[in-house]
Amino acid sequence: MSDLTQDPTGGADSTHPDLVALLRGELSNAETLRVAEHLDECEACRADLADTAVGHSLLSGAGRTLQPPASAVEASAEPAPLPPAPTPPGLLARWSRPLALVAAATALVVGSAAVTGVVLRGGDEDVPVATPQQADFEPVEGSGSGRVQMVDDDGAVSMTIETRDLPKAGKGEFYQVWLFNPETGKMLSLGILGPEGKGGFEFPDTLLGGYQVVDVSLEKDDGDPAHSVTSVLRATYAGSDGESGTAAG
Amino acid sequence: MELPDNAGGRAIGIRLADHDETALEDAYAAYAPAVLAYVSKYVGRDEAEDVLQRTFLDAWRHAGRYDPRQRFTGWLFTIAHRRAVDTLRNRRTQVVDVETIRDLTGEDGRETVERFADAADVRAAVGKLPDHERVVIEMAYFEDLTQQEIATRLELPLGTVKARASRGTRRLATLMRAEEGGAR
Ligand SMILES: [Zn+2]
Repeated sequence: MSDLTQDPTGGADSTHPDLVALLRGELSNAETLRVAEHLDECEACRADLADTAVGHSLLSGAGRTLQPPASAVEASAEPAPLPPAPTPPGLLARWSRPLALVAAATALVVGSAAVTGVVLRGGDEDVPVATPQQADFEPVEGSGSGRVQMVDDDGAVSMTIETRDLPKAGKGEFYQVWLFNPETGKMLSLGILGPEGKGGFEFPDTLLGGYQVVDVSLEKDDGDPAHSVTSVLRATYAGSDGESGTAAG
Repeated sequence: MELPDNAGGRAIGIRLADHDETALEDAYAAYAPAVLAYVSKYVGRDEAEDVLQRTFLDAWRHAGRYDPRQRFTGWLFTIAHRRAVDTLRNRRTQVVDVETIRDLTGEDGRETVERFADAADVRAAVGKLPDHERVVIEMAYFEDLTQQEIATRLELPLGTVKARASRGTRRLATLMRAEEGGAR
């Protein structure tokens, strides 16, 4: 079966088929020398080889740079992050959606693996994974309130946030959503709450790890990416009820 | 003046600065794998994913500071570099080995940022190839498979794989040259 995909660059497929293999060192010595002989006599293939060499050089450099370090490959028991073609790289497919929602200036929220296990499955394998689970926001400062809801759908967790009675953010201020682990103090900066005090986020549960609390803080656009001192709301998932202990372990 | 489409990263940077919401998604789709590979050099896998998120959130929040005369990936990886440094600094209780610090800071650190920015530009251009060509190119250069191995995996005749690899490689060169031209 020949590949008849049209080539808008006008590249001639009639030239020697082994130029890529030549540059990549995929040919036997004999084959390499035969291509060399052909190149001696063929102007079209020499021109082709020049273009091919430029592409090959860019690609092999990028491939070398982006290769995961050998230590990481050995240390990781997981399969390679990019599954075999022809499906598009899983990393892109899995990661591009959440940020679309960040970009939409909706709040974005992340839970932890333990949280997902607890909240979405409750330690009971028979509970349908699409059952939404929720927790209420408690005010840390002021009198705001609200609710966080999560749904697990085949490895992708959707979270939605609704807040009430948060004071309107001043000029240059905004409400930011974080994940928080009270034990370690670890925080993951997530995104900005929409103007209505609402937001939603989807993310792969592989991203999850080590957080139990969703935190909303009032931030200033002062270039400091760290969490401000002003937490206004918190909702606790893990450890908030009897199921947590069993499923988190 | 509007830059041509092929200005690639710069166009994304300009759209980000303009608070174009789809620009962040585009930036993420194009550059997240390279940013993740970069930060994974310095911090653990879990932390790397956090740093990745922070990098893009910073890029979104501070896009107004992006100077379109600068290449976008250079700017983006500079942010990633800062976030990686923060992360290592915040590890008060853990030892960070000397090699990691040396590689992250100083001359070596700058060189690494540029090298990853280069790789990210190429990776993003690969994403613009027609699917048939892209898949073959990705397997050949980012999964390190031979054309014969690719043919076996994709259950395609070797000649088809060679033709796609050949067209994809040349098209990639054309895309990168156009991008460079559009930037001037
Ligand atoms: Zn020829």
